[in-house]
Amino acid sequence: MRLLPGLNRAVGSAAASTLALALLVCGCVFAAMAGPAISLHTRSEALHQTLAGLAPTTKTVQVGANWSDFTSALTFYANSSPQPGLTGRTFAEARRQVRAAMAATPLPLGPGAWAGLSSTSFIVAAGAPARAFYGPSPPKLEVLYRDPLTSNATQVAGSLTGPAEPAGTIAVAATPQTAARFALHPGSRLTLATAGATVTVVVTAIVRQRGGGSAFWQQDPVAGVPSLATPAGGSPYWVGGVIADPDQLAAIQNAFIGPGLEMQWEFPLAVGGLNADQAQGLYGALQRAATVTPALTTMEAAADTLNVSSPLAADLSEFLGTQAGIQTVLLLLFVSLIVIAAAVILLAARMMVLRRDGELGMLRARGGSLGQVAAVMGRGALVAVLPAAVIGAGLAIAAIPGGAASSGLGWSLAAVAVAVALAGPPLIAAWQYRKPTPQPPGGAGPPGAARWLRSPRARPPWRAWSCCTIRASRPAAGSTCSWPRRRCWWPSRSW
Amino acid sequence: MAAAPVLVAIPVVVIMLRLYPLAVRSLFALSARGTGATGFVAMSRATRSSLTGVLPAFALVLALSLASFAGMISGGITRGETMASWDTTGADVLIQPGPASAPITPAVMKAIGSVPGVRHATGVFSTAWVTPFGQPVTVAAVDPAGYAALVAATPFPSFPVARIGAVPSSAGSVPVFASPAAVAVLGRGVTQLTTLGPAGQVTVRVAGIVDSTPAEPAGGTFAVMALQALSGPFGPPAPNMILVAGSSIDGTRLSAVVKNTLADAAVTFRASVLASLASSPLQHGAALIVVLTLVEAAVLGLFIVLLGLALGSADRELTMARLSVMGHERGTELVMAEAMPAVIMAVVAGVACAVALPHLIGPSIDLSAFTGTSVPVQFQPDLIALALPAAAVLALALAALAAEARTLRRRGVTGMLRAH
Repeated sequence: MRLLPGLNRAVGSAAASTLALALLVCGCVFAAMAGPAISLHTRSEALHQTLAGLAPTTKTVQVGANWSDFTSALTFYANSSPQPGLTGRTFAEARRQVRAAMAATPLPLGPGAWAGLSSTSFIVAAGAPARAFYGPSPPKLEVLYRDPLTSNATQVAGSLTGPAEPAGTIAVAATPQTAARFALHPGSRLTLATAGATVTVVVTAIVRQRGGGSAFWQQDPVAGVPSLATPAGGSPYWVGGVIADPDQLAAIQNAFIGPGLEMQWEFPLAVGGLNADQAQGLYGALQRAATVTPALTTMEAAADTLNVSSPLAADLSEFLGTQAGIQTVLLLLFVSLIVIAAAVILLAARMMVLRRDGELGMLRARGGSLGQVAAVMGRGALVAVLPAAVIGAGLAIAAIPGGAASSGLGWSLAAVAVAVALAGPPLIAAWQYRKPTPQPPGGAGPPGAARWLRSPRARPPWRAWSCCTIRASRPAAGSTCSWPRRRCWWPSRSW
Repeated sequence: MAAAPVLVAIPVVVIMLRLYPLAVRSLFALSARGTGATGFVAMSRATRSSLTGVLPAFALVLALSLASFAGMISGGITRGETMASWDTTGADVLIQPGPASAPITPAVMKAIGSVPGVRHATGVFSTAWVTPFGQPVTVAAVDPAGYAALVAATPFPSFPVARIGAVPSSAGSVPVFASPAAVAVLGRGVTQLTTLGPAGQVTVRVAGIVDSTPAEPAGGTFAVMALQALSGPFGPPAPNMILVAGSSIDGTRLSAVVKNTLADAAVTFRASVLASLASSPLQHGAALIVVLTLVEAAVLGLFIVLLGLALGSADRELTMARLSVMGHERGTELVMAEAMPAVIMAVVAGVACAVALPHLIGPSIDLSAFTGTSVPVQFQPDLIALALPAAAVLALALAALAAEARTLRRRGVTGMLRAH
C-alpha cells in the first residue's frame, strides 16, 4: 500500500502521459525486438531448409593431398632417410593435426569425420566374372583405405583381420552390392593391372554400409555400389570399389606407391544449430580454410601440400547473397522505425513535462536546481519505462518463435528506445526550465503561469523581466521602466 | 543505406518548415478578406500551431514516408512474385508431354479446351535451331490466331497475328517475331535456320521484335513463327507443349483430362508456382516483416498525430472558450482550420518524401531477393501505398480534432476560463 503514494509522487499530475509513455515504450521495445527476431527466425528457417536439401558430402570440409607430396615433404624437412610411407601412428597424428587446424579456423566440426587413402581405378586383369564386363569392356576397381571402417560398416561375412598376405597383395572388404557385381566372397582374389605391375586384392570380408547416406559412403559412391561409367568417346564399363582392411595401411601404400594415391580427410560440419546471422561467419571461415595454409604443428612441413575445400561455400554464398538483398531492405525499415519510435517517445516525454508544468515551475520558482527538475522527471520516467521495457521484452521473447533474445540487433534497437524514454523527460524538462522562473510576490503564480510566461507571445524582452520584477517589488522604482505595466503577468503592488 | 529514409526526411522537413509559414500567411491574408471570424482567428493561431515544431513534423513525415515506402516494397514483392510465376509457366497452365505421352492432337486440344474455366488453349512446337554460323535460336511454332488469343489473356505483350501470317511470303521466307537477342543473331534480312528434326531447314525474316512471350517466358534468343510454315514429310509437326489460359480453371478436371489423353505429361499451374514462391520461408517471412513494418509505421504515425494535437490542445481549447464567450459557435471548424494546415503540410511532405525515396535508393535495392527468383522487380511509386497512409493520417487528425471540440462543448467554457 506504500507503493501507490510513491507512484503518485513520481508521476505527479502527468499520470495519463506517464501511462502513455509506458505503453509506447512497451510497444516500441516489443516491436524493436520482434522485427529483427522474426527476420532472424525466417532467415534461419530458410537456411535450414537450404541445408536440409544438400547432400551430406556437401556439408563437409574436405582436405586432400597427394600421398607422394605429403610424405616427401615430411621426410625432406625431417632430414631423415626416405620412408616407405605413413605408419599407423603418423597417419593418426596427421588426422589429429588436420582436424585441429580446421577447428582452429574456426569451423564447427561435427561427428562422422574420416581419413583415408584412395587409389585411382584399375582394370581388373583377372578374377572378374562375366557379369562384371559390359560387353567387351573389362571392369575397373579402386581400392580405398578408410579410417574408421568398423564404425561405418557392419560385418556380414568373413573377417576384417585376415592372415598376413605377401607383398603386392591387399586384404580388402566389399559391400554386398560390389560382391554381387564382381562375384566376390571371402577368399576371392582379383588381379588389378597397375602401371608396370599387378596388384592382387584378397577379399576377407563382406560388409554392409552403416549409414549409407553419410559422407563416409557418399563421398565416393562406388565404394559401396558399383556403377556403370560412360566415358566420352569410349565404351561403358563397370567400376566398383573395395575397402582395405584396417590393418592394411602399409600394404596399400606399398602397392599403389606413386602419383595415383591420394590422401583425404573429410570433416562433416555441424550446421544443424547454425542460424542465419552465423552463416556469414561460417562462409568466411570456409573461405579462410580454403585459402590459408592449415596450421599443422609437428607436420607443418607438409601443410603446403594440403588442399582444403568445401562444397558448402557455394551454397552459402548464394544464400548470403539473397539474405543480403533482404537484409538491406529490412535494416532500412528497422532503423527508420526506431527513429520514428524515438520521436514519438520524445513527444510523449514532452507531454509529460507539459502536464507537470505547474509543479516544475513551482520547483524552479522556489529555487530548485535544474538537477532537481531533471530528477523529478527522471523518477517519473523510470517508474514507467523500466517495467514497460521489461514487459515488452518479455512479450517479445515469449511470443516470437525461436526467441527474440537471440537477435543482437533487436536488443540494440530496444536499448535505443529505452534510452530515449529514460533520458527524454529529464532532458526536455531541464531544457524548458533552464532559466529560473522569477518568483512573484506572495509566492508562486497560478498553475500554468510559468508556461504562459515562456510562451513566445507572452514572453517580454529580457530587459522587461527585471522591469516587471522591480515594479512588483518596488512600485516607485518601477515607474522608470519603459515596459508597459499591463504586460507584466503578475500585478504590481500599485494595482 | 539504412539511414536513407531519415536522411531524406530531414531536408524535406527543413523545406517544409520554411514553406509552412509562407503558406499559412497566404491563407491568413485570404481569410482576413473574408467576413467570418473563424478563418481569421484560426489562421492567426495556425502560425504558432504546435505541429510546426520540428520533432512532430519530422516524425510524421518519416512515419508517412516509411509507411508508403513499406507499402511500395510490399506491392513490389507481390508484383515480382506474380511476374516470376508468369515467367515460369507462360500461361495459367503449362502442359509438357513426357517421353511416354501420346502426341498432342486436335482431339487432345479439344478435350483440354472443354475443361471448365479454360478460355484459351493452344499448342506450341518449341525446338532448337541454329543459324548458318552455328548460333542457337529457340523457335516456337504456334497457331497464330489461337496463340494471339492466349497471349491476350496474359500480361505478355500482344501478338500481332496479321504481321506474322500463316504461310511463307512470296519471297519464300517465313516472317517471325524475334526477341532482341535473336534479332542480334538473325539480323534484319533473310536467314536460314536449321534443325535436326524433320522440319530440316527454314528461311526466316524478322517481321517484328517481341521482348517476351508465353511460349518462351524465360526470354533468351527465341523466335515465334507460324506452325503451318514448318512442313516436314508428314506436314506440320505436332506441338510439344500446351499453354492454357483461364481465370478459374478446374485443376482437378484438367489434370484428369491430361492424364487420360497424354499419360505422363507434366501439368504446371501458375497459381501453384505463385503459392510456392510466396510461401518459401525467406520470402514469406520478409514479406511479413514488411507488412508489419507498414502497420507499425502507421500506428506510430497515428500516435504522432494524436500527441502532436494533444500538445497544442490546451491553447486551442482556451481560444475556443474565449470565443464562445464572445458568441462564436463554430468551434469545430475553428479547431480544424487551425490545426489542419500543419497536418496537411506534413502529409504533403511525407508523400513527397515517399515519392523521392524509390528514385533515390531504388537502384540500390534488389527486390528480386524477396521473390526468390532472378526476375528483376521494378521498385516504383504506388498510388495506393502513397494515398492510404496519407488519407489515414488526415482522417485521424480530423476525428481527433472533432472529438476535441466536442469534449470542450461538454466540459463547458466557464470552468476552463476559471482554471486559466
